[in-house]
Amino acid sequence: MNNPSDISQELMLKYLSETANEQESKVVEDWMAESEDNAQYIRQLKSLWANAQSFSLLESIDMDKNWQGVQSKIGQHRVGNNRVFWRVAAAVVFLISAAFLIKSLLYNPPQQIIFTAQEQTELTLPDGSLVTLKKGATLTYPEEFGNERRVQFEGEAFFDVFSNPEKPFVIQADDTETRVLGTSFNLKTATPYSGFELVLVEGKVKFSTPNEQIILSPGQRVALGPNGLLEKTENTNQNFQAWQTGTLVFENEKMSRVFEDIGNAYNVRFELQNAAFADCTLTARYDQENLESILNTLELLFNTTFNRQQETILVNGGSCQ
Amino acid sequence: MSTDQDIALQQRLSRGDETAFQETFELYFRVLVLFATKFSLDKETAEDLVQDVFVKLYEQKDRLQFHSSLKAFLYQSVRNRCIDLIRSSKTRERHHVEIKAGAELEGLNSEELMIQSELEEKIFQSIQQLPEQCQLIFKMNRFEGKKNQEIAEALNISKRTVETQISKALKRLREDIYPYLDMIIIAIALWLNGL
Repeated sequence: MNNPSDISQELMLKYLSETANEQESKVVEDWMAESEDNAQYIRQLKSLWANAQSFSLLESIDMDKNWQGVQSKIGQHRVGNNRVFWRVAAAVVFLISAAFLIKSLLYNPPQQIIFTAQEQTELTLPDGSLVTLKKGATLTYPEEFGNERRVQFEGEAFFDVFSNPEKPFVIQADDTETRVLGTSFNLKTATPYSGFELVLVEGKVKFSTPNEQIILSPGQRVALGPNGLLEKTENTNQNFQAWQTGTLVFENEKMSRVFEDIGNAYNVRFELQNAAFADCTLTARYDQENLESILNTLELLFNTTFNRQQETILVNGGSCQ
Repeated sequence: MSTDQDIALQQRLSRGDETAFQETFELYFRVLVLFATKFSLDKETAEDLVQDVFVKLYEQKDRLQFHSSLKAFLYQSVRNRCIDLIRSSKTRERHHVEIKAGAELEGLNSEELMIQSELEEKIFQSIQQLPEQCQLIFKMNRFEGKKNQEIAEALNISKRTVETQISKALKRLREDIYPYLDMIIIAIALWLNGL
């Protein structure tokens, strides 16, 4: 029944385009009634007839123009996280740092060195102290120390200060001064997302702001509270140094804290789309893992997805196991 | 638009294969614009919206494995953006009638709209493959509303030839579309089960 010769093409087209008169329609309907095949044939043609209406719309879609549209939108989105962009930016920062350095070498007799870490960097200072700078941290120090060892600092770093009771080591950071003899500690200046914090590992530190002074013992932490006052507490976060050691340990830790620690270690920031996920807990240990593989395990564990937009990672979904 | 083709594309996309992205665009862009217009968007808005979905696909192509399928990702993204757009205050005025229908749109109908879009696009592809004269006659008859006699006069051919050509076009469409229709209904059923 694929090629009905017993019904005229003219009649059929009239019927489909609804221009057939009553008599003509009846001929078609009678023919349809003759067999199920006939009826189905007409129904199929009718549906094709109706569905062909989008033809002009589809035909008017300019594929080349839209492809270019997509390409240019991708281009705009890329500017922020393009590798080339960051390389150029890093080079510019380096050149500016270098310019400052040269300027300070040429014009400044005490010869201050301004070092901005492009990557995590271990610096040995003129007195033998070791400073591990987190990516992006800046340390300003003289080529040679005088009566005191004074440096300016911004960012996050782990200081292992060479012991010398006669020459105190002084770090100026934000509005604070950290005065030490010989000791090691983690120091982090304020960022838009986290406050100033110092965690002492060993030795003794005298920490002061224009208004307050505090002496810290090992295992203690001092932070600048929202009111601008110092808060001294025992350090309970074993991941404070993770950015340097590459080890993250979580024992039944809430996800809100987990994301804070991972974020601090890898210089990113997480935004939870599902607030309830913050209360799920994680027990895990990550040793020298890269960020992607940590995120992959979290995706599997919590049925979540991550969407990275430059330094911010959106966390979608997420439910406790 | 077989599922196999979909899976192969998805794998190539996640490997960062740029030609796979372009192929996906060629394969899906038109039908997705059509799908978007079924949510009462005009053509330009629909094109812009579907472009954005492809930008999103480009950015997330290595994470596609978290979605049930490439096709589901594309249709769902378009559908969600359409519904967001209809809801947004700017278009609310124009769409107040559709807002009422919005509840239905969110629920069951988007699968139907998807099947409908795919069918229409398939018909479009099929018509485009007709011989030139046959295509011209079919278009004049179907889309320009010209009577067969008018077409015959315009093209300087007999009315009978016009009718034969239109029937030929319909026959070709029927042969192209119906085997395909069975296939997409099965594919849709699989897709829905996979959600």
